[in-house]
Amino acid sequence: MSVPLSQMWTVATYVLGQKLRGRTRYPLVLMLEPLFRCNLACAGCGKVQYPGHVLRKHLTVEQCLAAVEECGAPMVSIPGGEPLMYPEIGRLVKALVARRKYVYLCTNAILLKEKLEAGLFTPSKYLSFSVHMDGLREEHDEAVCRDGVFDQAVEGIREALRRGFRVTTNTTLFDNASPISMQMFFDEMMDLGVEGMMLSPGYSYSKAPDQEHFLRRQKTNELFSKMLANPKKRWKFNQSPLFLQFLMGKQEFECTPWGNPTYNLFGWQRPCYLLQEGYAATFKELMETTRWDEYGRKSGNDKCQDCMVHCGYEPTAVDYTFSSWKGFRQSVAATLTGRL
Amino acid sequence: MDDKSLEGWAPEIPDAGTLAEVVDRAFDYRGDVTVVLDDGRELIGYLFNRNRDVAEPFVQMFEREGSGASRIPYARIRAIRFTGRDMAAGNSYAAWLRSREAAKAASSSPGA
Repeated sequence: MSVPLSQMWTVATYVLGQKLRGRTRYPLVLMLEPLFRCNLACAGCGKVQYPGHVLRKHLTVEQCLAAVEECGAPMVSIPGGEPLMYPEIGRLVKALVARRKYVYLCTNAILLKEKLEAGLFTPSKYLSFSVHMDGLREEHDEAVCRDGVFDQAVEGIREALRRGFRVTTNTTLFDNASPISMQMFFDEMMDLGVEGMMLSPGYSYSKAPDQEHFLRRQKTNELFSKMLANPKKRWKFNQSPLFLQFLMGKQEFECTPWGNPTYNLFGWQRPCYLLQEGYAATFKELMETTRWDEYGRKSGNDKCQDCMVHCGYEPTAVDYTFSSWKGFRQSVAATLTGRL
Repeated sequence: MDDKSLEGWAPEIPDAGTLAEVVDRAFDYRGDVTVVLDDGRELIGYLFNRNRDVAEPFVQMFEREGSGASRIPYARIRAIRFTGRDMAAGNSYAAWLRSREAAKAASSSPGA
């Protein structure tokens, strides 16, 4: 696993602090969406389909920082939309780094080289570009519905690494994913020199155009088991090994929908990053008035039955790591040996 | 796979139960709607939130010509028309694959 020690330490002390205070529901990663606008319209994404006047709007930096303070999570992921299209992205990232938040700037990297050359960002252990890569060239360009994007992303990654930035990749897998192709993809990303990779099965957004290719639970287990049965030592994953084991069917976890709360133009999204069932005006209102027992697999909610996405289950894996010696031991063993 | 779009729908709202249902549909709709108020005023914009679990149920929308969000009590709504383009309709994966194949075929044809 490739999460830097200082980041692991920050997360560990934060989680243990929450437990000592007796908080059973706490956020781990704030999903901060400053805008919905994107320079791609991927078939698997239901995030960008809004009228033009909504797409032209964005949060102010002050609104973003207020949300970060209100939430208190140690990590901030900036998805979107495409965050590099946010006119204040440089100022926002600088302010988050100054607050010692671990920032994952999730980008398709089409604009990455240009923004780096413009001097918008400074390398920091707190900042990682999390580049969207859904596989090798052909698979990725098909997933993002545009040819040439893979090559642009690789160019952006190379430039960021050359300038000393942390770079990770984030990959969403659909049911047409081939384990062998994915293994070749892992090799290629490691050859590029990225710090680590993040994987997640896709979620069937009700508004996403591609409803036919999302993974169901058993298929997810089969795909990840084949892909990660004998992981190469050189493959580094920037996520909890227990979450990967969960995807392989080796762990039984329940969803933690409040683990990655989402804030965007509409407010605090209920109940999670994937489902849009309403918005709360404050983080406190989100936590206190959302009927959490109506979500997750055990609830029987149809929308949750096949979901195994990172934003719900990675917080569970992290919580499990620090809730029992067994979880801690399993996590340490997988981290040290690289075996899943 | 495209669900049938509600674009152009102008439902009758005879009672509170129907209003709640139409508001839910408007909340799920990925296009602008026109909300007709009890004073005859019409608000055009994107309805992004609704909450019935409070003493005075309300919807929130970004008006097309406005800057901030408006909050409108359910009690003031007389009609909702689905007047804006449904941004989620007609963008199916199958359609994208077809257009991609067509583009490839065109670029590889002898006259291209």
